[in-house]
Amino acid sequence: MRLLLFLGCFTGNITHALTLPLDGNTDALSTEINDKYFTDRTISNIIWSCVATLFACGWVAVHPNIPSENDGEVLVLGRRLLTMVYMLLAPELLIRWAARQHFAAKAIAAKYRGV
Amino acid sequence: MRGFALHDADQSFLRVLDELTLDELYTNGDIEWPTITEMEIQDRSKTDIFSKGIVLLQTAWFIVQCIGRFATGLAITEVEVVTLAFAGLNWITYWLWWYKPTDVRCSASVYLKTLGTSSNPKICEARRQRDTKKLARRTSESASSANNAPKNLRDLTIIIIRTIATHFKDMTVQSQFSDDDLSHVPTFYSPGDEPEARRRYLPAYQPSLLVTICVIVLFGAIHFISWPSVFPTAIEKWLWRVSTILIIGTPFLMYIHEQTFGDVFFDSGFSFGTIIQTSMALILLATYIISRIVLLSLPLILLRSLPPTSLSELKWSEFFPHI
Repeated sequence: MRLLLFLGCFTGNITHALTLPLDGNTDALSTEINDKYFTDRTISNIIWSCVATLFACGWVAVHPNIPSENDGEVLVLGRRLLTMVYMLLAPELLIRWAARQHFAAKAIAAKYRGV
Repeated sequence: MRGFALHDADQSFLRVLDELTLDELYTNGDIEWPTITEMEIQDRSKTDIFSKGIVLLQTAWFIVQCIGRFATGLAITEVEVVTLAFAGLNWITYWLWWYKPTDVRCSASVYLKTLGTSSNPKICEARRQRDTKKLARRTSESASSANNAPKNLRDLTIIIIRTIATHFKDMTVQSQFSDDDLSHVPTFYSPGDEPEARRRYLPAYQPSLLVTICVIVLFGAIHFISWPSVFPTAIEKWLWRVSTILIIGTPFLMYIHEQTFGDVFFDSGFSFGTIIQTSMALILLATYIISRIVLLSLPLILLRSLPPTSLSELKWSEFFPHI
């Protein structure tokens, strides 16, 4: 899925780069379009790069605990969505949780090293 | 977390194991020490270095772009400032969770050596719960779930507030196994939360508090980037500025409140003092959440009129000196 997205981005850029030299007829309209593409960004550009970054923070970076074996897919997914909402609303809380797990796990690992 | 599950000698699932119980059962000779290796644990993870790398690159690229815009004097929109704050935190999240396997669905099994009656109250309780559950499943499953459903809107609101408060408490202060149901851990569980374990791992709690304080300050500080920028109206400008100050200030006030009065949401009787303390906690929580919502939604509203340079793309070729 992610790979497909990446390929999409690349091919998008390649066709774009190819069209540039072909636009030999430098009428006002096409230079304007090219200028717009290469020097300016649109609001949707801004929003998309932000959404991609926020998704990375709220979804991909979150490592949930192991759910109960009785929990269904919907419940597990719902929990991850809720975690994402918490991440956006109160990121400090999630980091506190991650930090407590990190340092507790470190202490436990140190205690049982070599057992 | 919830990595180890205790099973009876007949392979039926008994309970989730915390570190202390695992240690206790092993010391008493009830179980063999689990043989799972570090490689086996990492093998359960559903991500690899490649996808982690992509995410880190994505956030790093975002940060670099913002720094570039800042250095060349191009305007950074508020949406980007907010995202930048999250992108910064993402690196810390990754550092903290780097070795934690992602999306694990099965625990490592630990088996009791014998089916015989045990003197350990923890084992007896787990067996009792398993048997009650089996019985309940056989008689009627729907009856119990119907009883738990909220009857009206007021009950539902109370349940939602309690759940959120529990989650906040689980993440920040402590999350414990509930003795009534040993088959799962709280969603936001962290090990070492049992009172006994807390005493033993107290040194581990100081750094986690320090990390949180740094994160609160860093996260709020990034929002200050937009302090001098041009806002379309004065109201929006001051909403942004006040919210930025509040998201740094309220967590510290909440911490002081918690240290002074203890946990007011769960174990409070009804007296004048507790009502004041609870409402203070509620006001702090509400202030914080409202400030966060303002900081998330205001940038989207501000997109309607952007400063002129915020739509120009950063030209890297001009940024670096030509040879």
